[in-house]
Amino acid sequence: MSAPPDPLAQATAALRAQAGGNADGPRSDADPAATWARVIADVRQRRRRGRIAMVAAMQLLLAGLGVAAWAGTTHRLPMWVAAGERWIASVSADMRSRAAKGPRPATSPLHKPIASAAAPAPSPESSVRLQTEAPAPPVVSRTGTPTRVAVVRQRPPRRDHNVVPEVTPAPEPAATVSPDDVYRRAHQAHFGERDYARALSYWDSYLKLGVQRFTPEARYNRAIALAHLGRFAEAAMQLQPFAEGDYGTYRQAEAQALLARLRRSTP
Amino acid sequence: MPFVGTPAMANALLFSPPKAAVNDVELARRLGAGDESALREVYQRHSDDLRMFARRLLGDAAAAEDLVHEVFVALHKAIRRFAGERPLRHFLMGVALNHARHHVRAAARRRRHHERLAEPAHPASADASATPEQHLERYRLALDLSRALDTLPLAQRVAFTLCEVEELSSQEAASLAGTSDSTMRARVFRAKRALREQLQAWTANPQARKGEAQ
Repeated sequence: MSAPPDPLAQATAALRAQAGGNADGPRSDADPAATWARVIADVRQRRRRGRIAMVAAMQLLLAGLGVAAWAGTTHRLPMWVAAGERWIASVSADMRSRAAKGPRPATSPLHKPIASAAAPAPSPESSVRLQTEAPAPPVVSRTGTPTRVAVVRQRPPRRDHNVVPEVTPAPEPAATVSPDDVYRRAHQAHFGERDYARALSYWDSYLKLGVQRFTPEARYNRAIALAHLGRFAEAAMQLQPFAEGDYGTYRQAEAQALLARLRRSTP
Repeated sequence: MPFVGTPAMANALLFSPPKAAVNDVELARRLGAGDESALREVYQRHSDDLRMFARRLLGDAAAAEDLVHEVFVALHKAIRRFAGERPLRHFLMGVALNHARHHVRAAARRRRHHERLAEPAHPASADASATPEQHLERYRLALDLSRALDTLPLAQRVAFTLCEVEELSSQEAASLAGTSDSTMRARVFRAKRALREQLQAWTANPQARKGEAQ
């Protein structure tokens, strides 16, 4: 006695045969050509949309590059970059302070003294020793200010600063040279080459440009250069505003300490 | 005597003559590079099989055609995943499974709609070996099974279709569906049990067919 037919098996076989059609292939009411036409039309339309999107993206990119080039030629780009860097720095500082759950730094974001500054005595009998930080040039600064990465102990001066060296005036910055370029050159001459006479000329050139982004730093560094060159009275005059708090707490303590030492060493 | 062509002959006339058999991987490479002739060749070689599979999966010719269309439109991106480790036909079935979800629901809605409107059933293609009664009975069984499949979760429906209707091995089906062999066999077991119960219930109470389908 044969087993009763399995309804499910019968239905499965029927579905297989039904959907599979007959030996001639798919069901006669199928229209592969019409489906193919729809497929190829949709594929081509999607490609067109993709090309349009790419062209739009390229145009946006070119427009952005054009704006950046314009900003560069009109010297707006450094300002924008500096503004962006300051914003990033302030956000980073906020995040760090929250992470440390400590008080915010007392100094303003623009002036962040990291270590005291003192220059080595320009004359052999002077006991003044200065430690000058080596701020990074503005163009590479991530914080928008001359970054003081580490305290660099000054080597003894290579020149006899009792003899006033010939000051080789730095060339006046050309009209096309940006203030940041002048600052960078002054910084290189001062901290890189330790050519304080040349650095002084560059600091003077920068300060002649009027109020700039790093005017306080330039004034302070000019005072240090004067001290290196033995021009103590001028250096003291330059340091006085810092010591009196005209620039807030920026370099105030260093200026006070340096002034005290300059006065002790000045007959 | 007038020429009487079959659908297969019409398809051959509509498309360019097939070129020499091309390695599936090479074909997939050309397809991924945007070669329309490669897409046409894949369609010509595999659309019929894919259409059959879609009909068995969905139980509805119109929904199956939509699924085939969707698979080939998506193919130029999906083909980048093809590494030649399995036949291109199986890869296409896998793409169809990925796109099947809303087509399953659409097919079920269409079936319920036809039942509510009491539209006449579409007869299957003429099969010279079957009597009209056998033909209609086969059609009714297939329709009942499609309705019963509508009551299953998609995973069980896919498992049953791949293993029982398409007659793939559980390993092949698991590979297509992206699951393990044991999971695939478990799904098939549960699907068959549920389908048997459903078909038996409808056999006992034919009026329940319209109310049970979701």
